[in-house]
Amino acid sequence: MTLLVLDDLVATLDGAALLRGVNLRVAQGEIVGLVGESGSGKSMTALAIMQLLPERTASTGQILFGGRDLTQTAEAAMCAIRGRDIGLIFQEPMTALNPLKTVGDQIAESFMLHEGLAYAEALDKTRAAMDRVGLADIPATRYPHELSGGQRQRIVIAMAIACRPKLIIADEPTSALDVTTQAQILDLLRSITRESGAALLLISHDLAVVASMADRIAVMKDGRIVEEGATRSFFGAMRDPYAHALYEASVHRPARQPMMNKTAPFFVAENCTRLYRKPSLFRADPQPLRAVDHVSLALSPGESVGLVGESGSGKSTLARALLGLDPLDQGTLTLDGVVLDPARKQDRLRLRRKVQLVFQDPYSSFDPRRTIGWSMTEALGHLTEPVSESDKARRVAALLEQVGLAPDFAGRFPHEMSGGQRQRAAIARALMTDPELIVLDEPVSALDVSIRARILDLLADLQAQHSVTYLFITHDLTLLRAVTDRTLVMQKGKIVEEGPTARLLDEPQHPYTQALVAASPDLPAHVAGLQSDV
Amino acid sequence: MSALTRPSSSAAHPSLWFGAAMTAIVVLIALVSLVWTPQDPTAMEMTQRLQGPSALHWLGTDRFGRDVLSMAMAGAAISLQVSFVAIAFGMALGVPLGLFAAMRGGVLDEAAMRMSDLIFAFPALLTAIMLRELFGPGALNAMIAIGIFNVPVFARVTYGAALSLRTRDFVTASRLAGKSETLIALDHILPNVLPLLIVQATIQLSLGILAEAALSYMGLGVQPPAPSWGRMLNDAQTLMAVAPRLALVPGLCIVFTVLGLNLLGDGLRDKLDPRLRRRQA
Repeated sequence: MTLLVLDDLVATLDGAALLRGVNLRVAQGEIVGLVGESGSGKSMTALAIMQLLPERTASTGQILFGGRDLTQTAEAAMCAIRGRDIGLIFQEPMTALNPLKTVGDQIAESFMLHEGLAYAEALDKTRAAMDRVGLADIPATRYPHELSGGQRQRIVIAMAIACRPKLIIADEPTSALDVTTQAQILDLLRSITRESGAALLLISHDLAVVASMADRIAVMKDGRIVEEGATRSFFGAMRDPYAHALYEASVHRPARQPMMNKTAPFFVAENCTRLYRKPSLFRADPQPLRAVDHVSLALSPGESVGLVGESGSGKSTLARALLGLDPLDQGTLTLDGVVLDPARKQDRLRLRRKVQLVFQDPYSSFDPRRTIGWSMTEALGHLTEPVSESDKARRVAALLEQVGLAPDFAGRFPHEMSGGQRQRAAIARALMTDPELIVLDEPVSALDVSIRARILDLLADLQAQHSVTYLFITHDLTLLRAVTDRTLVMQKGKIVEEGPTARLLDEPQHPYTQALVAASPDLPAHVAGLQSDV
Repeated sequence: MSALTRPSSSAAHPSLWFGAAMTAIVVLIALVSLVWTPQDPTAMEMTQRLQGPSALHWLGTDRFGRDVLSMAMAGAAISLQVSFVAIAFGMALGVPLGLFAAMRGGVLDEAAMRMSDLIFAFPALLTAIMLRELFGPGALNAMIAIGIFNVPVFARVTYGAALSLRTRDFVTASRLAGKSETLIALDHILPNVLPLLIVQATIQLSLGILAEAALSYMGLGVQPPAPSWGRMLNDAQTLMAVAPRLALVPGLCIVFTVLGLNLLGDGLRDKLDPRLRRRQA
């Protein structure tokens, strides 16, 4: 039976179209995946169903939920429907929870509000709800900050399912979580919807996540659903060019020459240890956290090395140490046969001339008050000999061209550029001093899928041209397989496994690597599995 | 085009334009008073004392027969002058202090910020009294007293903003470009803190006007015969029943100026504060 029908839903805000005629059906107990890139209107669709569109939004069309048109429902009646009949799960569990109330009280609120229960009864049901989401051993009196990200998302799920809604809307429920946590939360969502008979509208930018979860997939673009179908047959029968392009981009592997004959390493880090001590005025912290624990690595010219691990594994700390941004507590860095001490200014400059960084977030990696050209040439004169203004302009133009941007981008400010353009500019900036090693810290994870594919192509091209070495920091195993020769797996500050990427992902030896591989959604493999089933 | 000059509809910032207009009027009057006032603001004419408004004296005269309008105009110049110099003093010391503390971190800088807390806890009034005991009364003492009070205000605004800025990726990028901490502070931190400082300066100016009035009222600021709003209020005190106009004029001048500056500050904050600005996609 059909639970939810969106019939030609159109929404405009101040003349800008948010939704341009969305048609979608969700049956009872069905999991529907809604995929799209940023700005496609997928979150707006969710807000429209909840009747929570921004103020001043004009909308037409029908939203039938259990036969009732929500667009004609008064706000008071909507309040009763939200939370009771439709549960909502957000992307960022920390902001979805009130930091000043215990998690138990926040779940209990749903019961008191929608079922009219007294506090004591509500708390009993809260306990049951927390047990259902796998938090049996967490006391209800905990505050959100005392829980991990995955646990917080479980609390949000417990709140959403508290009153056994008929429909759960999950908007990017796992995008802020680590791979293994993501797999657990997706399992939980799947089992809860199956067990309670609720329908799930799963909104995501990640086709792999949706393909592994949904019964049916809908692809959104520019406020419309451009492709829709049962997951089983979806990938074989895509007709819309955009849906096709989205899939291609999701499984894209840039054409790159794997490193065949490895030469001697030029950059060697030995026994690197970085401690985090709790600040204390009088004596050193007796049990400092070993953020990086005796890590050694050697990088050869032109190779592409992956560094994978979950948040808190120490991979970013290691990167900062390799870049000389943080001092090492132990260990040595050797560049081109010379041992460098990052505590010394001369050595630091020497290191930076040869080792550069591309950041994850293209929005914060450029000073909002400086032009791109200004930011790109910052290193000239500091890491290099002084360079004349006309030479600077020439080099900026040449590098911009190499990364596929017009020379006039030099005069633009960061806010005048898209995320993909900024990331291209960031890569151009990293190339300014002709480095031998570029550390890429999740360089594409903040970008939309189709842009991500183009940036990966660009990186592969540039590597071939400049024969630069990449150290790819990522949590995305699909990406790792596509762009690296060799991978280091990091857990709790230690490198627990390393080897050629393909072998490492196909035959992981260490339990942690095995867990990572098992938890990572693998779209090509999934699609292959689906097609052999048909 | 920088974020500072990014166009935004003026209709969205009515307080900005009201505040700017009111402030402009006060500044204009103060400037005019430097070259021309209807009468000499210090000239006493005992035969004309406590006159009501007339063609000759638009706002009447005080108990010494001085022209109230001329005194109010000249008072604007004094008030703004003291306040401007004091805020400039506060910024000149406070901003580098805050920048230094934020960029360096560590014990020395902790000490610098705690030191500024100490100054902050010390009312400007006490400083002014102390300075008068040391050097005698005068406008300069008022400037220094209000200025000292402003040092920690600007140090804190700069420190707080700089602390969050220096963890941003573009600062790391600059560090990787081989720039020194001093250069990073000047090239990246200061320009990004500037909007906040402008807003804060506007608000501090209005507080400075109030402080100057209070100090003059108590005889700690500009000395007679130079006119000042604070002393006009003091003089009018005993004549409230006879000529309330004498208190109303300087009182309204202070209200108008402070309100104008506050509206301007609010409007500027809405327009410039990056935290209130939507992130541009």
